[in-house]
Order: sequence, then structure tokens, then C-alpha cells
Amino acid sequence: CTGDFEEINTPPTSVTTVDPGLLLSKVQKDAAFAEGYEVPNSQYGSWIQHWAGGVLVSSSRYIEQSDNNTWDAHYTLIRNISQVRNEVLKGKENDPSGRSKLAIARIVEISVWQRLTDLFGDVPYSGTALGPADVNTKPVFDTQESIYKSLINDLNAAIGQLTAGDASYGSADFYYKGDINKWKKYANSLKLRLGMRIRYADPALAQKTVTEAMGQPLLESAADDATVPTYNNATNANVHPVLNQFLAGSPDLKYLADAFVTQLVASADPRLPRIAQPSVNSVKAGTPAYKGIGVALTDELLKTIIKDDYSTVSTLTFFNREYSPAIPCMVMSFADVSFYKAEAALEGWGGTATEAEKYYQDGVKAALAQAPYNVTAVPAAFEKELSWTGLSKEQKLEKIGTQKWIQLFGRSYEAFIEWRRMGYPALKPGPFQGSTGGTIPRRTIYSSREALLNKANYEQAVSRLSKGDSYVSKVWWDKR
Amino acid sequence: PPPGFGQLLASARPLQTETRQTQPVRLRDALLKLKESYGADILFEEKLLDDLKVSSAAVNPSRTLEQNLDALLASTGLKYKKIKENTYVLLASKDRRKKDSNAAPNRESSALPQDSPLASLSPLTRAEVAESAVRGTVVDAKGEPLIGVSVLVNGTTRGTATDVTGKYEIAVDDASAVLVFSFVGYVRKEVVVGAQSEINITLAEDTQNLSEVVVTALGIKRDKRALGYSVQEIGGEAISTAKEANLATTLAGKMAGVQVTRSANGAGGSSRVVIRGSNSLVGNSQPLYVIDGIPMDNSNPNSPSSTGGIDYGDGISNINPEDVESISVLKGPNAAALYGQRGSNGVVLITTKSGKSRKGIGIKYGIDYSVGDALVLPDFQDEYGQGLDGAFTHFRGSDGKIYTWAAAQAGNIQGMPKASGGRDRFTRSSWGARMDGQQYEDQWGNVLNFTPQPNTFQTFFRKEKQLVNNLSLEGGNDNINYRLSYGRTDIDGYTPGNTLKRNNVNLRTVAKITSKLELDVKANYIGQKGANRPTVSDASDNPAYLFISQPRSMPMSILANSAWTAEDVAKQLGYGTVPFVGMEKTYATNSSTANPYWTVDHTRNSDDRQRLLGLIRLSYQFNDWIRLTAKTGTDFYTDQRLRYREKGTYQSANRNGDISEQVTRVREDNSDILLSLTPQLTKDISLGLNLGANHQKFYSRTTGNTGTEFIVPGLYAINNTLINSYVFGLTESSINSVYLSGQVGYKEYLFLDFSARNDWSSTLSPANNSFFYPAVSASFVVTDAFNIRSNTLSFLKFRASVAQAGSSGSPYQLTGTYSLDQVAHGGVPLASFSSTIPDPNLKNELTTSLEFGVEARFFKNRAGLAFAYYNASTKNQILDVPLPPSSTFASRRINAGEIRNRGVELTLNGTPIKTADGFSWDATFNFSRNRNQVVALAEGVDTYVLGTDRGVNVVAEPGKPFGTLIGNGFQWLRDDNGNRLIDPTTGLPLKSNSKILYELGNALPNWIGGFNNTFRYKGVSLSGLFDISQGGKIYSQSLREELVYGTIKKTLPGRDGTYVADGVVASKSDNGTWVGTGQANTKQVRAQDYWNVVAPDKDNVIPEEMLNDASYIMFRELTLNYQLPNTLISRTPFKSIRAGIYGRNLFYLQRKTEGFAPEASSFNVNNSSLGLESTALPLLRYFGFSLNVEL
Repeated sequence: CTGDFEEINTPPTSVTTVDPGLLLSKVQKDAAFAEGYEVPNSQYGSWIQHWAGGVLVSSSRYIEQSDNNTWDAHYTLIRNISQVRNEVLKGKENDPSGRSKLAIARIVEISVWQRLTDLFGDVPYSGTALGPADVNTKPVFDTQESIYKSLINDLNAAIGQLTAGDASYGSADFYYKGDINKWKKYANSLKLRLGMRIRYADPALAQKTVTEAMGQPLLESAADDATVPTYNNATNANVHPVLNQFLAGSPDLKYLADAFVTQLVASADPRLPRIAQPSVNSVKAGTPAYKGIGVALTDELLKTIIKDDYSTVSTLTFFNREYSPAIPCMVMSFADVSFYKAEAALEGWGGTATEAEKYYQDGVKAALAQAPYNVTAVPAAFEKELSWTGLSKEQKLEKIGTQKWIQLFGRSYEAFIEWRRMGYPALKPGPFQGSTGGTIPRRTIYSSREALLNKANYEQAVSRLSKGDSYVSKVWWDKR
Repeated sequence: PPPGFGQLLASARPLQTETRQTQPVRLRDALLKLKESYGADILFEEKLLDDLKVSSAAVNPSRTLEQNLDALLASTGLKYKKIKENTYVLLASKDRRKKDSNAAPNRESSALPQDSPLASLSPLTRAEVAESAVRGTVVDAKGEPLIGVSVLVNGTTRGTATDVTGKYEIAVDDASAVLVFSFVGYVRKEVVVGAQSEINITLAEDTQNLSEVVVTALGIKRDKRALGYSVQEIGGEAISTAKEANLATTLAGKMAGVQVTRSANGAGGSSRVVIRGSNSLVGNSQPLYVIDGIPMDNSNPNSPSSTGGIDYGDGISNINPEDVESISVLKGPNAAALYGQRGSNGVVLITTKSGKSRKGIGIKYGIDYSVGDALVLPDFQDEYGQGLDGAFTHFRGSDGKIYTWAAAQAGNIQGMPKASGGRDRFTRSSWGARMDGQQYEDQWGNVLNFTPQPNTFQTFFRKEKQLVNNLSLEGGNDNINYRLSYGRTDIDGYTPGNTLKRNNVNLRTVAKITSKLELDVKANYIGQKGANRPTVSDASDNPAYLFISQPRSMPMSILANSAWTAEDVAKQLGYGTVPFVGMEKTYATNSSTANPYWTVDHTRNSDDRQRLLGLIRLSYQFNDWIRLTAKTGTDFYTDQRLRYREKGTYQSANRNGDISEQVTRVREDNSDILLSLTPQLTKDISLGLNLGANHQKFYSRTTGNTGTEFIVPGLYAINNTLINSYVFGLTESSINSVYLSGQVGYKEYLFLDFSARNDWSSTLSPANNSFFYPAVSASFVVTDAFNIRSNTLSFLKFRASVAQAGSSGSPYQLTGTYSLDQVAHGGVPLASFSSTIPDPNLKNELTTSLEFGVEARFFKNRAGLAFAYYNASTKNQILDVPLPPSSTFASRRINAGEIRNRGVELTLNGTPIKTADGFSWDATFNFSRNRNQVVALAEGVDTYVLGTDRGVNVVAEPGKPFGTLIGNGFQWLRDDNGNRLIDPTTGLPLKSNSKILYELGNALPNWIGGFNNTFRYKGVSLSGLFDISQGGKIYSQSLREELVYGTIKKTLPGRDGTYVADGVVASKSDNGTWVGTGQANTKQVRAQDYWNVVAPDKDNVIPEEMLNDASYIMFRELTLNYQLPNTLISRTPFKSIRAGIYGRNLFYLQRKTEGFAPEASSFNVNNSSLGLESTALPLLRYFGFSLNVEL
């Protein structure tokens, strides 16, 4: 009597196929939220001196350690999104019921791949994500250069597949609710980002890619921003990741870095009170003031810190569960695109030098207008930040880099990536020597699990790094 | 055999059996033949049979034994009495038991009653006797009457036997007469009559008896000599004295090859029993528990992990040790092949007590009370208090402002030292000033004196009290017997508020419905309620967790006020804007942190397990060689758990508290049908054959809810929470089996056993779900085969076996699936694909085991030796082989790997001293050494990670034993001689620039053993057990905390700046690397600076420094029992009174761990906690007493 065995052995709480929208939602949300939580903020966010970090997250003091969580999380995102092309919608590439959905899934996947290689450098790419039936247990690490070329090609193909009138993901698509036109803008903007990222490593390909993208519709206003909504009066899994850090994180890791606060104060940035909180002691003393903590401090300096003398993130906005409407989690903004356009136009790639300054100003204004700053009129004291009058090209780049750095607060991966690429703003490393001899890390370290289980390929990839699998080796495009 | 008493032992030589004529044969020989044919013991007084002859044709093999006995004895004036299964005693006829039992014979009328059992056979001696008579009762060590004990007047032909109530009466000539009491399986006793008219005797069990019957697979009782594989049994007393709350823990140190570790998880926690080493990478390698033939579910759903959790106890912990008659351990597949796939880790067979035929109701009552307190605590220092650099960290100026210590010193500020809350060693470590009673303000603003607080554990924790009451009623007659017992266990745990209450009701009835049909019914109900079980491992609401790092100057009374007050909030330092009035007040500021007082006062958990173990067995004896048994049994329980944490609890979401409630219903049913054949072949060859089939079904369903953030305070219900989510789980599986087993014996010295089984499992695909595994074993008794009769060598046996056992893995392992996230995002559901790649073509695992053994006894059985060698290998394990994350999957489920366990087991026992006046010393030593090797993993897989914790991975790697500890942290720089390199400038040891994976050692012991000594004198017995484990390493997470925070004595030397790190001075070579100069370091540093290199924080330690040697020799048990002599209790209504005192976990003769118990530190019983200690609750030392009376 083994007749009922198959029924007995059917899993009761899971299914063997699923609507692809559920996978898309999962990946869009997880990918967006991933860069704003306590750990990335305290590591990458501290390296680029948004956050103070601290002794609790020793990597913030440049002490090297493998970044297993980031590595795992990105390959998990890729597993889930690649199921759409490998299984769920496989074979529907030319069918309206699958064509645009597949293209959208591919575009999201490309954005995840880009972030992964930007953080680590060479990563397994071509030999993986082939589906559960064809798993490669020892995927080779591809060079970042080849990955970028492939991503640009794949993105071009995906853009070509986006077809109005095809079946849509509907409300499962957090970014655009299935709006194909917006997806086209997003995809072109992603192409712009891919091209700009490699501008110092492969100027020819960068120019071609950027110029092509500049000729296509890009994100045009805040209405085109790709975001994932957040919900305050819900579980901590649904709140904005920076609010999640406030609710679930350590009180010791809620402080901002000195460089960041100083920049906001010095430039009379209207976003200051909505980013930072005046220190407890200054408020007690009746003279509210903002002050950040130095990063990567030595033990001796740490002992001199009385936390109440320093600023946390603002409890009016990010650290406020009552803040309404809940702050959307930003994936790519009109401000991002404007800064890229400004940089491209400065090079004459699809724009002129005059247009560049306007693009820059668009970017700053869009950044000020973003939630939770909502600054729509530029205050007089801040006007100077919008002007390029009398600046050299490098100074203009520094302006772009600095405003981008502020705009990317809360997006710690992207902020770290763009800071390395542009080399702006100039940041002074913290005094603690850590494993880097007192320099700011330029990449993060491969997963120790990967090193253990894919040893030969790992070692081959490490041999291509100038200073080994360390914080101080640079990825291919990092030339600044 | 003793003079005058014949017992047809299994070892008795076959006697003149060549004669086949129908001429008269001696009755004795005829009885012998019966014994051989039917395998029964027939007891008689030798004299009774003198010269009696019967016709040789009187024995008819086609009849039953009893029919034959009737025929044989018909003309002899003798009759027989069946005293137990397969045991008969011959008595003279015209028995007058009825009269005897109504009233004890009057002494005056005792001139040897007319129809005394011996009267008709000894007419000539009658006149000489009858001067006086002696009577009394013979009981065993437990006070049970012994029936059929031979009582003889030494040197005469006069004798009798005890009746069903154990009473006897015999005539003696004079006061110098010596009575000899003897009974099979008991030590013979001689008593001088003297002036006594009543002699009550307690016979001690003869532990050296030749015929040791053990319970084997399928519950079949076998003579141990016939077994070709290893079975070890412990019985009654070893279980019921020095009670462990968890029955499985009773096995510790008592059996070769059985390793027992207990989880450090409070009252009612789980145990880990591993027999002959781990043979599976997944799961827990624990044996199958079978109770009265019915497998029990021993799982422990949601067991704790390295980051917290609560141990709600496993299945075996629910059993009442008092109900257990014996525990038989079948070691490995050779012994257990008949239990199918779950037998591959060995089987623990538990036989519970059943009733006995007796007159009236036997009432037994036992009470056991014990008190436990911590045996091992961290070795705290009580010299330096909270602070850093030998000073306070902060200062409260007279102006009310808070300064750093340095700023206050530099600015010559007036005021008072101030402590700060914090999360790292900079504020809350005990690297501060010497505690001299100076005034300071603590982190909440209390002005206190800076004094040592040595008794943090003692103040918070309580003595554990365990009270066990047991009452049993039993009785019956030849046709029906019953036993009804009630056990009640009350434990007041070590952690305040932690209680466990358990009721066990057990009813067992065996009835002969007809002479051929027997019914056996058992119902065992267990109701267990646990409350406030502690969280364990690396979780701050583990009550022990914070004490290990708590500043040594922080008074417990401050923490006892566990909620923030307005004044605390106003004067606090280091907590930022987090605290509010009424919130849990903690001394640390971690994102999840706890105050143990809050934990016990404001968080609650409770669990309620209702369990029924039921059994119905019917057996029908067609004739004397065919028996059919059908049985069905169930293990059925509901486990209900509730946990809530009040609003304000630091760890709960947004400090608003949470609640979870879940109900798990588990049911495992087993039905068997078994045909047993014992055909009579020839005189020399015996044969037994069992054919059986089994159907097993497992079902487990969990439903529940969790709610976070209470809306209204004080109402702890799911519907009072902001966010709810469900809990759901369902598991089902089924196995069908057919099996066969047989035994062939030749001339009682050569035995061959064989078995074969085929399973069909629902967890594999139809193409692969049927699998077969055979076993065969042989036993050869050399002493009997070659008729060796020697005073030196009493018994010698060789045995060998080879066996296989299969296993089919867990349900739902064949298909990859999508599952939904618990929490949708704004109403949009989120799904992900499983991280394990399934293989629909999975096959069963297969363990193959080979075993050889020798058993020998010497000096008339005064000393014994048992030795075994085994080699077992498990192939085709169903493994989730880990994949590199870049494959996008975490693991792939395949058949892979081979793990081999080879080992030796040695048991030595002996009776070094045994005197005529009843003093004896029995000693047993067991030793086992298991060599585990991971032979292969999957192709291309070099490492299988069993468990990970901060700073350490526990892995299996080919070519190495299971349980390799791999450090994941910094490594000392060393010179070629292994000396640490010391930085010449700082005087501190140098370490690697970044974290490195490097091997630290192995968690498995080299050998384990036990040494048990029992001294007996009259009614007193004293028994002591040493439990030994040598080798193996434990990685201690507690030690790390203690070093980071400077709380233990190890951190005291050199605090004044005189610490000299061991190592050689280094110098920097031209290429920038450090090399040794060979010169020993002499530079003095502060202890704080040295230890901060070793362990600056949780994540950046030097793992090798946290490694402890797990070797220990523990004085595990000491019991002293006193059986009151019958002379004392004969005038009371009691039949037996036994009192005892005991101690358990008394002390270590050897221990190398720092501040924790090596054998009781794991946080769960799975492979993943092997070799890891993580803020274990202390092992408790118990002292207790017990009293057992019988009415």
C-alpha cells in the first residue's frame, strides 16, 4: 500500500510554480532596502563618512573581514529574479504574455549584477544563474570589464524587448506598476549609469554607451523616480531601512560622521535639520548645534567621546516612525540621472558644457525636493552651491561629486560606489590604521564561504587583484 | 551445581542421550531432555528425584512442555509449578499452599505437617526430626518475594521450596543446623539456625550468572551468549536511584561506546546520546528510542540555535524513570537492523514494568527529593570594577555636567566619578579602578560605593529542587496481571520562575484470554507543564549571558529594579535617547539586550505537552512452535507553547512587546504483525524464525500566531497586537516494511542469526523508494564447544557480525519550490525560490557495519571481560551539499559522502572482594574509543559546515574526523619555532592583518569511559560512578566575553602594567614582514592592553585563545542505599523499606575548561553545536534522598 506515498510527500506549504510578479516584487524590494540597513550604513556608509560607524562594526575601522552577507544577498536576488527567465516565463521571449515581463526582470537583474561587481570587482557571472536544472557548482570569476560589456549588451537587448501593450506585472511592479514607458526611461537611465561608471576605465565604450543613452528618454522628473514604498505602521520589515535601523538597531550606531555634518552645516544646506539631530547636550544647554563623530577613531579618541555631544540622524524624519507620508525607498532618482547627465555633458557626450550646469542644478533641486526634505525653493544661503561660475572642470566634478554624495545618504552601496568612481568629495581617512594602513577601503572582501567552496576560481580572481583580496585593492573601473 | 540442588542450566552437558529404547530412564534425564527441547528452566531438589525412573516414551515432542511434565510426573508423586515464563519448579504433591497462605502455621503444630512437600519422600527421617521448625520469607533485593527458592538443611536430605508468597517452613534437628537457600540467578546463602524460629532472607542477584537474558530487537528476550552482536543492558536500580529528570542522561558513563551529553538548558532540557560516533552529517545521529516495542518520537521541535532559543525538551525526557524496568542498548546496525532505517544510529530499547502474579495488591510508593546548585561558575575576579585603563571613564562635575575622566583630571574638575552605559569595553568593562569602596555615580545616577559584587549568580539564581513521587499498584493471577502507576515530578528550576510539573500515569495489563491467546495493553499518559524555561546560548535574555560580562562593581539590587524611572532617565549616561520610563533597564546598550530580572518578571513562556503512548498486542500460540503476534502502538502528543514579553521589553519590536502561541500535534503510529516459528528440528539444532511486517506513519502539524507590539498594556493576547502573522507547518511521512529474522543454534555453543528487511518509504520517488538490507551474525562459545572446565577460564565466546541499515531522509526533499514571505509588502506578496536544489532521483542512505567481539569470564565468573571492534561506514548520505553562493543556491541535495566510524569497546568487571559474611565489592570499567573519519563528501566538495558561531566553524572535511573546529578570526604571528612574535615597540603580540580560516582542533573525544564501584554489605549498598572523557576541544564564547570585559581572574595578573606577553621579540625585515629575533620578550604591558589584543570585541578575537580542552573525569554519582532488614519491618505493615541518599555531578577529578562544565555546555543536541559553548547555564550538582516502601 504505497499508493498514497506521492500525496503524502507533496510539500504542504509551498508551490512548484508561481506568478513571476511575486518574484519581481521580492527582488525589487529586497534590493532597494538592502543598502540602507544598519550594517551597510555602518560599514560602507561610514567609509564614505555619512555615518560615524564605531567600534561595534569593526570594518568601519578598516579592519578587514569578508562580506558574506552582501555577497550572499546579491546572489540570492539573482537566484530569484533569474527564475523568471530560467523557469517561470521561459520560452515566452517573443510572446506578448512574457516578452516585456522578461525584459523588466532582466533589467532588474542587470542592476543587481552591476552593484555586485561594483562592490567586489570580478565576480562569477557568465557561468552562473543558468537555472536549477543547470547549476554550476564552481563558477569561474569573470573580469569586471567583461561583465560590464555583457551587461550593456543585455540591457540593449532588454530595452529592445520592452513593448507597449504586452502583459504587465501590474501592482507587483513597485517601481512603475507596469508602465512600459517609464521602464524604457529607467532602462536608458541604467544604461547611462553603466556607461558613466566605466568612463575612466574604458572611455571609448563609456562614451558610446553614454551618448546612446543620452539620446533616449531618461527619467525626466521626480515622477519618474524608481522607488519602493515603505509603511510605517507595520512590521519592521516594511519600514524604511534607515527607520529600521532606528527601531531595531544599536543606539551606538545611530550617529552621523563629522565630515557629513560639517559639509551640511558649512554649506547652509537646507536639508540639515531633516538629516541630522542637534546633539542632546547642545539642546540641554539651550544652544542646539550639530556635530558629527569622527570615523575610524583610535581607542584613545573613542574614550574622549561623550555621545550626547553628537548628532544622530534626525528624529523628525528618518528616525521617526510617525513621519507621514512614509519615506519611499529610492532605487534611482531623477537627481541621480541629472548628475550623470551633467557629467556626460561636461565631456560633450550627448550634451554641451552649458547644458551641464543646468543638469547639475536640476540634480541639486531634485535632490532637495526629495522626501523627506521636500525643499522646493532653494534658500538664498544655499544658492552658491548651485553655481558653477568660475570653476574649473575638476571643480565642477567635485561639485557634482559632493552634491551626489549628499543626495545618496541612506543608499550606502551606491554612495560608496560613486565616491570611488568620481573621487569626490575628498575625504580624510580616520586615524585608526585598521588593516588598510589608515586608508579608506576601495572595495569589499569576497565571501569566506565562496573562498572555501569555490577555491580555485576564487584564487584565480584574487591573483588578478593588485593587492590581493583586501580593502585596498581597486576594482577595474576605479581609477581615481 | 550446588549439592542437593539441580538446575538445568543452559550450559549443562548433554547426558547419556544415545539410548533410544523405551526402557525406563532416570526422571532427571527425561527432564533434561524436556529442558533442551523447550528451552525451559526446570528447578528441583536433587534428592526429590533420587532413583525415580520413568518410561523414556513418556516424552512426546509433539506435545507442549506442560503436557509432557504432566505425563512424566503423573506416577512420581511430584507436581510442578510454573513460577515464571519458561521456568518450572518441581514440588512434592498434596501441596497445602492454600492453608499456608491463610495463616502462618502455629509453631506448636509445626511438627512437620503430614503433607509437607517432603514428607512422602522421606518417611524414614520423619521420626528423627520435628524437634523444631523454622519459617520465614525469602525476598530479593527489591523486597519482592521469591517463589520456588530451594531451602535445604545442610548435610541432610531434607528440604523444601518457597511458595508463591515467598514463604517457607522447614523442620530442623538442632540449633547448629545450617539452612542453605539457593535459587537460579541469585547468590546462594547459608544461615545457622541458632535460636531463631523465623529466618527471613534477602537473596542478592547473582550478577555473574551464566545465563544473562537481554532484550533484543523486536523485544525478543535472548540469552546473551547466543548473540553475535553487541547489546548492553542496564536495569532497575541503575535507573531508579539518583534520578535524572531526563531518562537518557542516566546512560552517562554506564556503557561502553555510548556518549551522553546534556544540554545546559534548565529543567526538562534535552539530552544527546551518540552510540559509536556520529555517522550522519545531517540531523543529530541520535539513536531510535523504542518503548515496549513502539518507537517514540524523540524530536525537539524548534530547538535552540547559537543565537538563542528555548529548549522545550525532547521526547525521552517525558518518560518517568520509575516506570522503566530495563534499558537495552543495541549498538549500531548489527544489533538494530530490524528497526529499519531509524536503527542505523543504534536503538535504545526501553522495557517498562508490568504486573506480577501475586496475592492481593502490591503497593509501592517512592519519594525522591533532590536539591541542585551550580557546580562550575566562571572564575570571576573581585578586585577591579567598571571602567577602563584602571580608572573610571567619566566624571560628574559639581556643576552637574558630565566630563570624560581625562578631561576632568586635566581640568581639575570637582565632583564624583561617573560610570557610563555602553555596548563595548570602553564603558562597561571591568578594567577600571580597584574597588576600594570609593563613592561614584553609576550609569543611572545612583550614588554608590565602589565595592565587589562577588555573588551575582548566587543572588539571582536559586537552588533547583526536584521532587518525584511515585505510587504503583500491581497484582494479578496466572491469567491476568496489571500494574498501574502514577508518577509526579515537580521541579523548581535553577532559573527563578522556571518550573516543570509532570504527571505520568501508566497502566499495563497482560491477560491470558484463553490458554493460547494473550493480550497486552499499555496506556501511558504524560502531562507535562513547563513554565519560564530560560533562553540559552548567545542571546541576552539568556539569564547567564549578562552576568559573565557584568561590571564586577555593579550591585544586583540596582538591576533588580528592572524598569527605568524618571530619575534614571534624567541622570543616565550612555543610553542616548532610547530609554523611557517603564522600559526595561539594562546595563548594556546593545540593540538587543536584557536585564535578567526583567526577563524573569516581565517575560513569560509556558508549555503544555499532553502525550499518550499506547500499545495493544495480541498474540496467539497456535501450538508449541507457532506464535502469531499483532500489535499496534501510537505515540501521540500535543505540544502547546505560549510566550510573551511585556511592553517595554528591550528586545521586542519597538519595545512594545510581543506574543506567540503555537500548537503542534504529532502522531506516530506503528503497526506490526509478527509470526514466530520455533520448530523442533533435531536434538542438537535449534531454530527460530520470525516473519514480520510493519507500517509506520508520521504526522506533525503546527499552527499558531505571532503578534508584535501590544496595543493596550497588560493584555497578553494575540488580538491585542499591532501586527499578526501565522505559524504553520505540516510534515507527513510513511514507511512500509517486511522483515525476517532467524536464529539457528547448534548444541548450545554455536549460534547463527540472520535478518533481512525491505522498506518502502514515502520520502523517496516511486523508482527509488524500495530498499533492502540484510544482517548476519554468529556466536561461538569456546568453553562449551571444547568442554573447557577451568577455575581460571569460566567462559569464552567469540562473535562476529555484519549488517546494513538504510535511511530515506526527510519528507519533501525531491522538489524545488517557491515559498511566500511571511510578511507581504503593503499588500503585495513576495515569493522566493528554495535555496536548495533538489534531486528527484534521491536514493536511500546505507550504513554497513562489521563487528567482532570476545567475551570471557574468569575465576568462577568473578571477573569478566568484553571486547568489541567495529567498523561502520555510511554511504550515499542524503546531504545538502553546500554550494558556493555564486552558484545562486545555498546547497544541492544529493546522495553523497561516506563517513566511517571504527572503534573498540572494552568492558571489564569483577568482584575483587566477596566475603562469607556478605560483603562484596563489584567493579566495572568501560572504555571506548571511536575513530571517526569523513572518508568522502560529494565530488568537488571539500568542506561540509556543520555549525558556525562567532569566530569558529565546525566542519567535516575528507580525511579528517567529523567535528573539526576551524577558527575564523585573527591568528598570532609566530616564528619558525612556534613562538609568538612580540612587537618590540608595544610589547604586545602581533597578529595577522585580517581574519584567517585555520584549524584549531577537533571536538570529538579520544576516548570515553566509566568506572563504577558497588559495595554491598547486608542491606547496605554504596555505589560510585566516575564518568570519563579524554580529548576533544570546546570553543568557549563565554571566555571571549569574560576576556573582552576583564571579569575573570585570568585578567588580573599584570593589571598594574607588569604583564609580560609570552613570545619572542620581533623585528621588521626589509620586505616589511615580521621575523623573530629569538630573544624572549621581557617588555611589560598592562594586562588590559594584552587581553584587548586577544579579544577586543566579539568579532575580532584570536580563536585559538578561546579553545578549551574538553577532557574530564567527573565523579558522576554516589549512592548509598539501605534496605531495612526483614527482622525490623516484620512487625510493620511494610514488606520492604529502602532508603537512600545520593549525590550527582559531585566533583571533577580533572577539568580543563575555564568556568564551564565541558560535558554540559552545548545549547542544543544537534551536530551544529558540537564543540561549542555559548554562555551555558551552569551544570548543577545535586544531593538527594529517596525512600521506597512496599506494602
